[in-house]
Amino acid sequence: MKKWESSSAPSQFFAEGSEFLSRLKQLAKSLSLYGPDQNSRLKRFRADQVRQIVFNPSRMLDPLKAIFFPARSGLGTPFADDHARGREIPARIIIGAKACDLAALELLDRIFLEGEFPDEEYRGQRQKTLIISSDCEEPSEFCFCAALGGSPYPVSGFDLNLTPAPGGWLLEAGTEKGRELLAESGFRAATEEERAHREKLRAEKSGKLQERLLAEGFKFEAAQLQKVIESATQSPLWRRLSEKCVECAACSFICPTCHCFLLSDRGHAPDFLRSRAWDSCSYRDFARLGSGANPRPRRAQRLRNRFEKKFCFFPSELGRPGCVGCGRCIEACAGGLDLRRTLKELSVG
Amino acid sequence: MAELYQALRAELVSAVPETNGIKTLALRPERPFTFAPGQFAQLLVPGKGEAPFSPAVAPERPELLEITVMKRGRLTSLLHRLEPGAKLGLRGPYGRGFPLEQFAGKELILIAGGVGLAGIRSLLFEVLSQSEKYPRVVLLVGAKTPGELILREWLLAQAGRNRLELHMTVETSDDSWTGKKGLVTDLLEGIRIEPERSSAAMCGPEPMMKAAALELVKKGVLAGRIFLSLERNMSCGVGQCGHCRLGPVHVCKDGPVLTWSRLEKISEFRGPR
Repeated sequence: MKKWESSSAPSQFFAEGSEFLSRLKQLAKSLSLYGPDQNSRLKRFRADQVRQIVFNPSRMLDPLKAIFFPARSGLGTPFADDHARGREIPARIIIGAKACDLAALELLDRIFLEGEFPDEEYRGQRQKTLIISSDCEEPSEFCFCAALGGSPYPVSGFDLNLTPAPGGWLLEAGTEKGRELLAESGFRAATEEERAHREKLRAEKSGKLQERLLAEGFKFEAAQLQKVIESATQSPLWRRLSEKCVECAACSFICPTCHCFLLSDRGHAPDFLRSRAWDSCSYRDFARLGSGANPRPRRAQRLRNRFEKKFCFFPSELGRPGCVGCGRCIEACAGGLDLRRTLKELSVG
Repeated sequence: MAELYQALRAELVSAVPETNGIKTLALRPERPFTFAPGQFAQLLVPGKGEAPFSPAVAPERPELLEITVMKRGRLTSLLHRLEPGAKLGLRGPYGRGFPLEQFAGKELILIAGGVGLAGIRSLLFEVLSQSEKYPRVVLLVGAKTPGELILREWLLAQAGRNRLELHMTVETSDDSWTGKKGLVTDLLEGIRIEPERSSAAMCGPEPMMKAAALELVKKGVLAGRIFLSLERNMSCGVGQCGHCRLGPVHVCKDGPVLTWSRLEKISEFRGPR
C-alpha cells in the first residue's frame, strides 16, 4: 500500500457501472470469467451473460478455494516417468471475492506453496487467475469477520478491488496485474471526493457490523481463543455440542481454509490414475491407522480437534487463526451448530 | 523430487514370510532411492492405493529396499498376495528420521515392539556398521509370542558378531521358549543405564512406547533424548492432506520420529491427565 501512495501514478480509479460491465464483457471474450449468480454461488459466465452477474452484497456461499483446489481433481498418472500432469491452465478472472475470501486464500497459499514440496498445480491456478474483490455492502447474518479482527472490505490479496461509489465503482489495484488492467481500461483517476467517500463508507460499514456483533457478545481475540481452547481439552462442551453433529462434513467442505484431502488410486495397467478429493476430519475414519487404531474415535474428540486446528494449530504454524469469520459453517451446519456461540461460550468459560 | 504425489517404479524381487502375517518385501527401485534411517516411503500398489512404511537396506544387498509389512487391512493384504515380479511404486522419502548426529558418542537404547522392529532396522544397520561412533548399543525386543518375534535369526547373528547387547522377551509362550517372559518395558529393569550418556529410540505399539518413555524418564534419561517413531495415517507425506495430524504436529513432515519432550505436551497423544 505504502509503495503506491508514494508513487505519482493514481492508485484509485473510477468507473461507471455500465463502463465497468462492458470492460468485463470484453475480458470475458478471451478469459474465463467466474462470478456470483443470484444464489450467491460461484458460476462461470460467458461474455454475453455478463449483465447477469450479481454484485454480491456479502460473501458468496461457495468458498473461493473450489477454484484453486477443486472438490475433486485428477492428478494423472501416479508414476513420475509417465506423461506429466501439467496441463494447460486457462487464464481466468474471478469477480465477487470478499475480504474473508482473500484472507482464507492467503492461508491456503501458505499451506500449498510454502515448504519443501510446493503444489505446482495450485501455483499455476493462482498465477493464472486475476481476482477482483469488492467491499461488503451488507454482511450476511452469519458474517462475523469483524469479531475476529477482520474488516468487511479487502485490504490485501486482490488484484483489483471495487468499492461502491455514487454512479459506479471506485477501483483500486493491489498487484501489478491489477495495475495493468486498470491502465488498459482507460478509467479516470478517482477524485479526492470519491476517495473520501470510500473511507467514510468503509468506516460506517465496519462500525455497523462491529456494533451488531458486539450486541451479541461476539468479540474475540486470537491469542485468548488459542489459550482457552488449549485449556478446554476436557471440557464437557465438546460432548454436548457433538451430539448435534451428524458428521455430514459440510462445515469442512464449505470452509474456505479447510484443506484436508484424500488421495485415491484406480485404473488398470498401463492406465493408472490418481485423484484427489476434499476430505474432512469430522469423518470417523479420517485419522484411522493402517493397524486399525483410531486416534479420534469419538465425535466429541473430532469436534474439539476442529476447533484446535482452527484456533491453536493454525496460529502456531502460520501466525493466524484458520477462521476468517465468514460464517459459512454456521450457514451450512445441519445440526445448527454456531461457531460464534461456541467461541463465546468457551471465552466466558 | 518429481511431481508431487508421483512415484518411482519398483519391482518386487522377493517376499519372505517372517511370521504368520508378517512378510518382508524386497524391492528393486528403477533408480536409487536414498533415505535416512527412520524416514518413511509411500509404497504404491498401482490402481489400488498406497501406505507408509519405513524401509531398510541390508548392507549385503545395497541395491534392494526391504519393507516389512504386517497384514492388517485392504492394502497390506494386497501386498501379502503379491508375487515376485510385481510392479509397484515408491514415493518419498518423507519426514525426519532418527538424529544420527545427536546419537553419535551416546550409549543407545533401542526398543522395539512386535513389527515395530522393522521401523528401527535401518537405524540398527547404521549404528552397527559405524560401531566406532556408538560406544554401546542395547536392543530390547518384545513380542506377544515367540512366533511373532520377527528377524530373530538375524538379530541373534548380529548379537554374535557385533557389540550388540540383545535382550528379548515375549508376553506368552509355551515351554519351547527358554528366554524371558514379560513386557519389553520389564527389560529396562535388567539393564545398566547411564542416563547422562544415553539416548533412546523406539518403535512399536503406542502404549508400549509411552510406558517405555516414562520408564526411561524415571531412570533419568532426558525427555529430549528419547525418540519415538510414530505410526499415523500418513497420506500426502508433505504436511498438506491433514490425515496424520497429531496436535500441532504433522507426523509425516515433522516426524515420524519425534522426541518424548515434544509428544508429552500434546494432549491428544498424552491422553487425559
